[in-house]
Amino acid sequence: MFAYFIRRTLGVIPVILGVILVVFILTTIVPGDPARIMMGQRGDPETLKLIRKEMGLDEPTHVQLVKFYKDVFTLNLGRSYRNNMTVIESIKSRLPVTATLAIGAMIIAVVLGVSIGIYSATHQYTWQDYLSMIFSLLGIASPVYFVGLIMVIIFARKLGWVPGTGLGNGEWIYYVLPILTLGVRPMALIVRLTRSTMLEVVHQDYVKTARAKGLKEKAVIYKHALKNALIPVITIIGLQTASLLSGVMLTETIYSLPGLGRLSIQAVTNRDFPIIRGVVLFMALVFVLANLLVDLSYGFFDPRIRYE
Amino acid sequence: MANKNKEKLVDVKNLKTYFYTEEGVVKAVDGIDFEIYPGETLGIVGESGCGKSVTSLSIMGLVESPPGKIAEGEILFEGIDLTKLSQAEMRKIRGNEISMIFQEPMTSLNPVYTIGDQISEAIIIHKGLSKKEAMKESVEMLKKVGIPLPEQRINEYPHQLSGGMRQRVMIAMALSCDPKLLIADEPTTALDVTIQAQILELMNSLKASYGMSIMMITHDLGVIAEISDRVAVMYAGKIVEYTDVNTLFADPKHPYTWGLMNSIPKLDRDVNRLQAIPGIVPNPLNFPDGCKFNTRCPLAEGKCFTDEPKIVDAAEGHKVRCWRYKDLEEMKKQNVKIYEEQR
Repeated sequence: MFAYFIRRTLGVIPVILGVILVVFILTTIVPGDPARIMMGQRGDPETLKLIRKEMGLDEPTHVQLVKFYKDVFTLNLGRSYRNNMTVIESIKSRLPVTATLAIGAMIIAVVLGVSIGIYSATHQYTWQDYLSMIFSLLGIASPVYFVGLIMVIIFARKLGWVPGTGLGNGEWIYYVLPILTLGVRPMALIVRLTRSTMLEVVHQDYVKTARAKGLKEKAVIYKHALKNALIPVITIIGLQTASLLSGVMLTETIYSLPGLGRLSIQAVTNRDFPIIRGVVLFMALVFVLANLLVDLSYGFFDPRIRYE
Repeated sequence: MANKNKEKLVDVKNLKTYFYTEEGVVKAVDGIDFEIYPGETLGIVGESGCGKSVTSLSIMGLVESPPGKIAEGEILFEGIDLTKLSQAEMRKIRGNEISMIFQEPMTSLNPVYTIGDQISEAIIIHKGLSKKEAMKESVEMLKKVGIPLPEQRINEYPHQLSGGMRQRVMIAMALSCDPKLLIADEPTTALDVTIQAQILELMNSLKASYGMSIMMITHDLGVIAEISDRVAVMYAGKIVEYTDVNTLFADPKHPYTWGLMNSIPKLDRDVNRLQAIPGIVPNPLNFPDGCKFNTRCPLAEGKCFTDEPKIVDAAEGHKVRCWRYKDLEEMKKQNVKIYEEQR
């Protein structure tokens, strides 16, 4: 068990090294001269040269790469070209909003998704089941920007229940629509997946054994069936963090929220390379860690994995 | 038979379990009667789809509903009709007074819980013991079914055990609350032959020490010979022959049973080809008129195609459902091969 944890955790290291490399390559091959971006149109050739030298941009690529690795590991990611804040500071100041959104959306997706999925599976072919299947199909088919706009129109403009834009003074009510917008898709996916794995599991022999023991139906479903059905659901949760991170960009843009997603979109339009690098690295790291967590929780849910 | 005087443990009367599907009504079990006496083993034998598993699930009250339903009949267990009990009352009997083991030991145990967890579960709900006491009981049960190092095994997961070991665990689980009836649905089918023999031997010895009855469901006449006291042969949802095991093997009266016996390879006879029953089991949605075996029966004629035979006493304690069982008797005496040898 412990060895499994260690092995999995060590396995993350090469992935992170690879991520850093990819981020470096991407930001190096895109067109645009950082020095010129920093100086705008006013830079004369002498100053530009000086700045390039200062930033190490005149060095050969492999030297830049080594320097980049060093910078990443010392958390020295440079400063924004625009407002001179360090990258770390920028991320730190934007993180709370994004984390609230992402975690809130994930909690809603998992809690509602799994419960509705179980309900659907245990009430197969009833109208409730059909209803949840139709809504989850719509949820999967609708992109975040569409869901977001529709929600704003209905709940903010027509009904006026919740604010549709901005953060106010950070009250929770401002988070309601963004969290729902972001959570709908992963929730819909989890509903369908839970339903189908649950249906598969309740026909397994060991569920028949559990019933034959005289267990209550609740114990049969929630103890014997659910733990088995959750294994594929956990996989999806890990993979969904990726679409959550991209969803964050859209959601924050729609609702004008000052989070990491908005930061990265602004950085891209401004060619603010240090920020782009920083945010992309950070998100990649989050994704890797989320999947590490998923891998580790397999060990808890499925004993067959620990020993292999 | 001496045990005829004893009180019946199980008395199934005219049981009909139907499945209402979109294609029509599947009469999986269509009016069967049998009884099980305390301490005896009743074998139920038949091909796949003859209704033997549905019979056992009906007794357990585990027929999936919908589409399945007990349409008619009574299942008296110690005089109480199980078909009339509520789910809650039925749960007190399941795993406690009647327990069941299944065909596939590889998939019948939950892969994500330990052996101990799974055995103790039934003990906790039916005997009301604490988790700790139940675990102790579980160790005792594992000892009884012959699992080495039970204290260690109790904390292991099903995937760490072999098929034979898992079936032993299933038996331990089934017997943990001293059931009066153990239903075994093809418990040895998925095991290899040497393990089969061990499991049957184990069941026989446990039956003796627990004084329970066993209902053994199988398609394997070898298993029947090994373990049963009396046998019911099922075909297409009905019992076609019902007698004690010695009589059945010595003097089968139904052409179907006769066919089954003849299709067993025999070591003491020099036979090149086996005689097999031609054809396949008829589609349950579309059973033939008259005797359900008439599509495959070499003796079928006239009446067999129009009227369904009733089950009758062909001899003392020997029931058979056939219009022509007397003719079969004659043919057996004259040593006529009624089934063709398979090419």
